[in-house]
Amino acid sequence: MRKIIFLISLAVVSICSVTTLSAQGIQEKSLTLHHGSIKEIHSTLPTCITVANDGSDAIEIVFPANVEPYLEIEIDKRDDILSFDVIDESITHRELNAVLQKNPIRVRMSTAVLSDILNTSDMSITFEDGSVGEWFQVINTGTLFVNGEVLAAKKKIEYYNTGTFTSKIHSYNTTILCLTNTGFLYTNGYTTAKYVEQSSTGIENTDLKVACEKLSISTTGSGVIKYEGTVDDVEIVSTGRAKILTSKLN
Amino acid sequence: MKRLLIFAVSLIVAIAECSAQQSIDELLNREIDSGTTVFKMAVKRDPETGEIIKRVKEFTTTGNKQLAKEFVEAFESERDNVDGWEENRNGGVVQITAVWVNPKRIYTITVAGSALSVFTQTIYREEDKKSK
Repeated sequence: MRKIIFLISLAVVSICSVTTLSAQGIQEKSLTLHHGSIKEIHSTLPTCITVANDGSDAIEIVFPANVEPYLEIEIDKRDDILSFDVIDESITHRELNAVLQKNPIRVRMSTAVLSDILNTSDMSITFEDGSVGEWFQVINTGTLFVNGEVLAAKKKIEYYNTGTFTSKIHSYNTTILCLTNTGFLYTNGYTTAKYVEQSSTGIENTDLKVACEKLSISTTGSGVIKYEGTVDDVEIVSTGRAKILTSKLN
Repeated sequence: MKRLLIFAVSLIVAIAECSAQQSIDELLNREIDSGTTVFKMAVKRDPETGEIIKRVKEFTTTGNKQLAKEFVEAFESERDNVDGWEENRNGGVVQITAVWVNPKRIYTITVAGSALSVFTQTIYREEDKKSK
């Protein structure tokens, strides 16, 4: 049986969009979509996302009006995915990226069940509340900046990075924290995770305070990996040039 | 005068105990923080207080004869301070075990060519039967 996917395309929702002038004098288009439980965000374009948890189902999106014909903004209501992509083949990703670098797509949404972020371009995410799904995964091949006070996923937080990823979260509240990096990954803060696993072949800049049962670090890359706090079981395999600072553990 | 003498002797013994195996620990910490490392550490805690009862560290590396030599020298420099010493030298293989009684520490080094393994075990206090 053919699977039914409900797609709300920009063409449909642009009916209820509004054009305004930004502070930089650029004509901006804003539109509001309605979906209260986005689980995944996929983006191949520069985006600035603010994730709140205020119970609203409105997703407010603002972007330069001149890129509208090339943008594809979709909500897949079956899988709860919000995605940003290029729709028109007359413009390349590179050209559209160049335009959006200075004026990225701005998104404000509310969800407490976000479980996947896939970024292949430039993205920044601000978590106002920090409540995400039980399993929260970020896959980044572009440039990603994540910030907020708390990131709270009951079971697992996973980062897979091959690009440049800066994660400035004060507290990672979860059971398992898993960091996998082949690019550049900056992670700092505190975690409540019982199990912390870090695997790197890239450049790492880690400064984490932990209180966990098991810490496992495997690296063939470089950079500085610093952990402090209490750990019952530590396992480090480092065959690269990384400086691993664990003297403040236990 | 007698009391003063006892105090002085006690102080010297305490300082000596504190500094025992210090050179090995310093070398170990330097290497753990420096980079190319295979390092494991485990602690056993008192389930009620969270206090560490026992700590085990294992450090291994290969391809660095100079480092192996430094560790053997660090062990040998502690020989006069230990409560127990066992040494086996067989061809290119050196194995030394040093033991301190208070607190209980067992440090073992094995060097085979450029392969180095250092194993340290520190028991801060004996486990209660119920926490075993």
